[in-house]
Amino acid sequence: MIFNTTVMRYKVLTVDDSRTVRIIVRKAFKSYDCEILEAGNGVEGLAIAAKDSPDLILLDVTMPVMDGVEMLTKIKSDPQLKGIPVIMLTAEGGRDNVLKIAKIGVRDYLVKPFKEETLIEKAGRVIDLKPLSDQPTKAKSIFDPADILAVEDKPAIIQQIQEGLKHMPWKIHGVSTQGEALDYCTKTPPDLVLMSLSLPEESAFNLFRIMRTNIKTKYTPIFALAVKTETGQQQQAQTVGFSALITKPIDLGELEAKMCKSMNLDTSRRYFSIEPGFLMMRLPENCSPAVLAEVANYLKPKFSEAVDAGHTRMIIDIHELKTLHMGVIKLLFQAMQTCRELTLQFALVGNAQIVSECKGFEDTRNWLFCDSIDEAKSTLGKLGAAVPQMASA
Amino acid sequence: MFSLSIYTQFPMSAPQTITDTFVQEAIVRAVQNVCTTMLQRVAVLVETTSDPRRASFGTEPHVFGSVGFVGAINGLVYFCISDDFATDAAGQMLGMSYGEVKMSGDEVVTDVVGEITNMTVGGFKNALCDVGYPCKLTLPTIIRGHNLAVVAVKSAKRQIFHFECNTHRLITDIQLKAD
Repeated sequence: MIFNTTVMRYKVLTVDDSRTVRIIVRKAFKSYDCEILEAGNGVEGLAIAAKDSPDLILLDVTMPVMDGVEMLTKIKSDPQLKGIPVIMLTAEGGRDNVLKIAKIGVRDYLVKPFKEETLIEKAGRVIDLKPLSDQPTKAKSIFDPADILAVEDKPAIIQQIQEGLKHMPWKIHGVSTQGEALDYCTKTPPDLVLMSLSLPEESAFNLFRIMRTNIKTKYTPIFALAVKTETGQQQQAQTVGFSALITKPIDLGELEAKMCKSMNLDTSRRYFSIEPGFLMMRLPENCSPAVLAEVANYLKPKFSEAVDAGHTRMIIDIHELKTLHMGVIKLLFQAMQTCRELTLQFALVGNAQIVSECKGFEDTRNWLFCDSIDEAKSTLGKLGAAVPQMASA
Repeated sequence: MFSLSIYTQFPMSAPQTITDTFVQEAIVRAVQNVCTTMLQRVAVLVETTSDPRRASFGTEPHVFGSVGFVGAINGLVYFCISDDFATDAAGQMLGMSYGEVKMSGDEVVTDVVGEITNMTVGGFKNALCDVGYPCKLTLPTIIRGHNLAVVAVKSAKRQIFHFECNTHRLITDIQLKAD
């Protein structure tokens, strides 16, 4: 028998005689790493608080058996329980009542009717609520849509980013002020924020702080955009905890790579695909060190995945590559070595330039290339268990 | 600790007289706040009356919720909606479809109406507290059926308000003790 051993980081106790409110509370917290405990009155609430030591108590006032005020008073006079933060969640909102209850000692007071977002926001100020990330959901890939918010008062920069990333399935929304950015985040919490540090009156840093205190954007990657020469601003951005720093003029390749990494996107499909009968590995036109590192990280898992799925052949396609350098050679050696370890047959596809450059290196001069994917397929089809020429590579 | 400044900057003044207009404004605000926040629906006041025959839905199946308040002022508010509206409201509040609510049984719907009544009367009562009549809510009571009628509390001033909310009718019957 397999037991679910997931341990939630926080326990939230909701004490309310209304099952409706307890269901709404449970619903509000369902996407956060919280275990919700329930009690229908103060007596049950005290018993659960003593037994389970919750990290937060949400407490109603008007309840049968023991009301919320009595329960709160008992909590505050119990050395074991008095440290547990309490947020009142009640329809009792008259000025005098609130004052009286607040004096006993509560962290916050939320008057019903209430919005689930408000409850989460207030709870998020007391405990470090984190959205559940280890759910069995499909990992996001570079082919999935994402909402990007660019906060920049220079329209030309927003346009440059939109233009430069238009090949990605991302919606890049540009705003120029702190207010517009907060409005946008309330309606559509973005997947990533690009924020210019040159917004007037240091508003980028204010906006950053506000976003980090809001549960919806607390864990959203926020990139700082700064002019290369503004080192003071860059240092400040690093100190306050911006997720990444992008300097202007913007290197769009670097920006895209950092965005993918921050959003934890699966980029493997850029380089690897399963075609009918074989695994395909493709290198792009320009193989920067970042690209090489990315491909190298995927090598073993992607090759193993293909073998696991019953594939015995692969094509390494570098015909788009403009020039050969040591980084690429090293990666190709690594790929070929992995193929041998997994007894995968492979064929190389290149272009005239690359084939000629290969002749110039001692280690690569014996590599044999096919001119096209079709030729590679046909070569692989004819081969037996071993690929002698390439095995020597 | 949360800020108490909004509550402490205005010291309690002498109680203000509770007029019909005050009652109307307070209940309209309370109903609209609950409908907007919890049901994502807009409620519009369509009728005010003191005719007791206009305090329920007659033969149509309906649900009555009632919550009182006691303290410097005493009263009772009845909240009445049709069975259909109650099911719709339960779905909205709990994130369930109409079918799911029906499958969950009467208890769920009854509890939702109890909470809506509690929130609405809470909003109304808090308005009274804030003009110098500190009082506390009582526990909600729920009754379901048809041909139900509310008996007037002796020596109470009675005002009945009808609201339209997403094609449904919602009735609040307020009875404030004269003393």
